[in-house]
Amino acid sequence: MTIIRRIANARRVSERRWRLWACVLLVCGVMGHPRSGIAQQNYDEPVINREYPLKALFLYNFGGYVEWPAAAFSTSQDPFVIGVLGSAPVDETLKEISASRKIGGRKIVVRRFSSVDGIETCHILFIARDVAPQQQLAAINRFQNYHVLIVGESPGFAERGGSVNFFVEANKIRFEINIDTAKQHQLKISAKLLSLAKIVQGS
Amino acid sequence: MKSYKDFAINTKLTLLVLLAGGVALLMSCIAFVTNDMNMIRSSMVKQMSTLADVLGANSTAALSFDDPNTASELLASLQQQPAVEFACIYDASGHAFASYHRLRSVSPPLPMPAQHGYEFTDEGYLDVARPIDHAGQSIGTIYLHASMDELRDQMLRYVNIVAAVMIVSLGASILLSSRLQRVISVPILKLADAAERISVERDYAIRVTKSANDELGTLYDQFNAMLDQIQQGEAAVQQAHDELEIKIEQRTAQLSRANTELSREISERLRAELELEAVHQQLMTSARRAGMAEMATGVLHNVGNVLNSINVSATLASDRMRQSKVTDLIRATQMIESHAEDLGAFITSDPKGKQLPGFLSLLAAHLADERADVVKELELLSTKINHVKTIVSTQQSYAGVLGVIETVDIATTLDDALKLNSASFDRHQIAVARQYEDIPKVRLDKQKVLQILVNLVKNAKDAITDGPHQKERKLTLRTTLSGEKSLQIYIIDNGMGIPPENLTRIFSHGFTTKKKGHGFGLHSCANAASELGGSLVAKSDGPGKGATFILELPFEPAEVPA
Repeated sequence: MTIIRRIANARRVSERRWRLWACVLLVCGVMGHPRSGIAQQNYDEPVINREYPLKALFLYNFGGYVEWPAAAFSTSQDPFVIGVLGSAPVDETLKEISASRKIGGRKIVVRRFSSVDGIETCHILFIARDVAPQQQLAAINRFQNYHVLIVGESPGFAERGGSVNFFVEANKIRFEINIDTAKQHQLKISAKLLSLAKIVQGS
Repeated sequence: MKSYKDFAINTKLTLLVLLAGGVALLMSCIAFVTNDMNMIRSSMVKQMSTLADVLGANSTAALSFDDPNTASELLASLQQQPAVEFACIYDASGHAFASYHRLRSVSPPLPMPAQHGYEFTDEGYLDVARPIDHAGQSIGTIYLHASMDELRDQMLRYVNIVAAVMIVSLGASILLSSRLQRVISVPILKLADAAERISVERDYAIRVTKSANDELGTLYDQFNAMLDQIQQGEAAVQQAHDELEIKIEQRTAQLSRANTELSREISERLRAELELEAVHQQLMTSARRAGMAEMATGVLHNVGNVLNSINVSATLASDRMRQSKVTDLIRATQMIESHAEDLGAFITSDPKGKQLPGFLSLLAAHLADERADVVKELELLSTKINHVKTIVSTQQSYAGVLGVIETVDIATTLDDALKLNSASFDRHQIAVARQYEDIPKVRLDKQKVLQILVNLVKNAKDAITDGPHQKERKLTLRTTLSGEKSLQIYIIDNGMGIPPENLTRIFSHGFTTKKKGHGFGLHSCANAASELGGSLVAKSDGPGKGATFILELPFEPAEVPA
């Protein structure tokens, strides 16, 4: 950033477009958008640092492309609950989002669970990869009949009963979807979302 | 270049139809094309907006899940839309997320448009920017950059169509109007033709036949009515002309008659004038004679006066001779004869005889005295006879031919006039004053001038003698030059004068105030003065106050010897 600014200042380029671009880049940097790192080809700042803010954003976005049955909410005032199991650092981002946005007209509530047993009713359950595979499976099984979108980030998670599983491909965060499990949870996943996902089958 | 006004009427009509039709057609074509273009534009806008919306809606997930590849694949479907040359999806923060270039030209990723909507750029592109919404959130913007080639092609097609339609329809309307304009132009041309024929042939009997009951039909009727009027007028004019001709002939005849009469009258008048001239000549002659008579009267008067003296002298001489002592001598001689023998004795003795010698010597002395007296008287007689001779010779010197222009000294002529009357002046104690200006010799008809002057002088003398008794009887003669070529002679008397009412009458023929006058003198004087080119004017302050006669005469100055 400073380099750009310095270059811009040093060259004293008065051309409007240049300054505009400089401004845009500056804003990108300030906002900490993941693309800015790529755009700058800045290898000092690995993408992994942005992994969880992005995953948090994705978790929020799933709310817009997945349709929950009406039974998932007891009243219209019920909040949309995103539960997190494990130590994935998504809270901060999710809290930022939940402060300003809603899903399906509902407030967003983030809940962090420390154990499978402690998990309460939620609409999206993110199971971090530091959770033991048995625990993960237990959690999946526990919410087998609930209208919960179970999201993981462990290899084979979707095949083992999760609905969505993050993975990294070409330095980008992608996800796979197991349509069958989603159906089991009576969730309708938007074709748009599916078009972005790698579709997997249960094993 | 002929102006539109000078075109033939059928050309005008055709042009009119063409122009009107062409303009109407062009305007409607323009309206249709404009409308169509607008429709195409708006449909393009709609199409592109829809496309953008669809693409945007489809790319929401890609945007949400940071999948530019999917978005690019989505945009790649624009390959089916050849109009779209460039498309770009921007994320919520305005960064280019995915882009599409129809041609792989290297156009840099554009910054996100400032606002949503559409815009036709100056380069002929349609730019559409639509928001990408998802779940009530704006998560990005999609931008389409579509070329308007289709619109341009459409426009070109339309222009071609319009041109073709215009050409075809104008051709059709030329054909149609060249047919239809005859409805109007043919009657007008027919009318014009008729009018020209009429004006060339001057045949007002020509009539036009109308073919319709429209305004042209009315025009035809009016034209015919006008021709009727003209024909009638022509006939009337012809009639008037004929009548006029007849009248002129009559008048000419009358005039020539009158002319003949007039010429006859003129010739008569000429004859009358000739007669008048002859009469005048006669009158002149008689006037001249009268003048001469006047002169002769003057002369004779003078001569008579002298003859009186002569008579007195002769009587005196004859008396003297009659009382002569010659008889005494005869008696003495008889006494001597009777005493012849004793003469001596007688003388010495006889008492008578003694006285005889003394007697004889006395007688001798007496006879000598007598002879001296008679001689004296006879000498006087001789002088008077000489006077008569002078008068007559003066008269004779003026009795020459009239109308002869001579070189005259006016003073001398005046003196001559006075001389012819001189006897009367002496007898009547009239003092004559001569006030002559120094007038050079002039060329005049001397006889006539003298005749006038003699008459005037005599007239003045008569006025003085017949007038009231005056202490001083005075006649003044004065000459003066009144101009370069005229002189004035004043004859001024202090005689009886002329009453004002007679001032002009005195010159008329037969007017006189004298007992023995014949009223011709002044008349002839005035005539003579005007014959000489001059004038004679009388002035008087009234009866008893004298009169002045002014004779003005033009003259030719005599050549003055150098």
